[in-house]
Amino acid sequence: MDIYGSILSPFAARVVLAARYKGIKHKLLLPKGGIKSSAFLKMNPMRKMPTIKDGSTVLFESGVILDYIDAKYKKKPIVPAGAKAGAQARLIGAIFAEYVQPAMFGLFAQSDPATRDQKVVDEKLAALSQALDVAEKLLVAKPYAAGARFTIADCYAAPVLFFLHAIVPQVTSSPVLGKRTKLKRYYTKASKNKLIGGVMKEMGEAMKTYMEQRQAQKAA
Amino acid sequence: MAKTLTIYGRIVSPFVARVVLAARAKGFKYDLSLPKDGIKSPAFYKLNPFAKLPVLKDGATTLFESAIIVEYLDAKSKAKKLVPASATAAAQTRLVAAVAGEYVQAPAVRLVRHKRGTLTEPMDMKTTLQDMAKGLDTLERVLLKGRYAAGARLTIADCFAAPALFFVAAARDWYELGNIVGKRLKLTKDWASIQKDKLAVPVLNDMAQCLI
Repeated sequence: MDIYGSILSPFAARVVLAARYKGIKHKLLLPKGGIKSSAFLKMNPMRKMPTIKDGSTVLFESGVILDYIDAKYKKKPIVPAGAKAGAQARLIGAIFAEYVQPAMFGLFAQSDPATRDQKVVDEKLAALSQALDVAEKLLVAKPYAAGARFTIADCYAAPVLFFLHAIVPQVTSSPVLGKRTKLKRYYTKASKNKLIGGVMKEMGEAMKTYMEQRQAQKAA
Repeated sequence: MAKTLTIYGRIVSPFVARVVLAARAKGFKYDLSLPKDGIKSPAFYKLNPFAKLPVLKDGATTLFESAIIVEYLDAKSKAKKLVPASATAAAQTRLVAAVAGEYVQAPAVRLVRHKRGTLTEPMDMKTTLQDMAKGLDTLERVLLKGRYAAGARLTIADCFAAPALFFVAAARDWYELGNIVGKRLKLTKDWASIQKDKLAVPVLNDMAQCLI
């Protein structure tokens, strides 16, 4: 399976986590000629990543890809069986994808002190705090996000938590997760987990490279 | 005897309409209502701390986020599946739903709200029209052959596409955009099928009543 995307994108990291957990042979790569090339446009008219190619199947939208991977490679399911359990794991994922992540990216855009708007920072921090409160309520963290096994919830939660710890300290001195004990426990365990911690580490290395490039660009 | 589902929301919201369509397609009984003391009440906070609609209540199960509710409703019973069984067909169906819900619906709703004066942020008309055209082009690309969005039967794809296309049609009428679906042949056929579908017609009519 070809996964077009960068590990630093939480959207792509979700898909990589699922593929690795399932033991699916895959390559993570960037489109030859870039996302604006006509070859990539044929795969995804919205020109976004991740996009996957699995045999003759081309798909985009990370949520669609995750469900595809789970349905196609049936071993080690990531969406729990049963309507209720499935919905609960999906809901934890959605809290991270739809509420935590947008607030976090809002802060990422404010990470440069030279161009920072403190009013925006405060708004995003408030939104982030609310989203994390809900995540804390729904998270199971025993030790995985939705219970004893790795699920789709971890695919969403782990990349976002990595990013939070990279970004939030740049804009505030308050602790990233505050007193949210389940989230803290989850993050600590996930960081030490071979699969999840491995992806977080790769994201960290990619982040470092990205920041160095940004610094160099600024200096030039 | 199956319990009646409670769907909190207003039919004119495309997010709510998706859920209502899915419940109808699955043959579930449901009540569509608004939370008694509004979405900012402490009681509603317990159902959805983000104070958004739709929310589904099914016995002890409470869910929010329309896409999750639709998947839940489909998983709840084996009859009248809204997502095809094969992995590839299921993915193609979900992709149609995602494109309609993300890239077609957002610009179409913005155009309509702008006209109604309910949009709080500024809107660049040209960009929004371009976004909608791009969304429609992408939808045409991912639609499958057949009467409906993803083949011969109504699926999750139509639950998302019908409300999105309703707003495209509303934007077309209010801005006099002409034949906006244009040469997109699969899209033209799907929209024609939806407008004749006995499950979808009452939902589309109710949505239209709210916009008058």
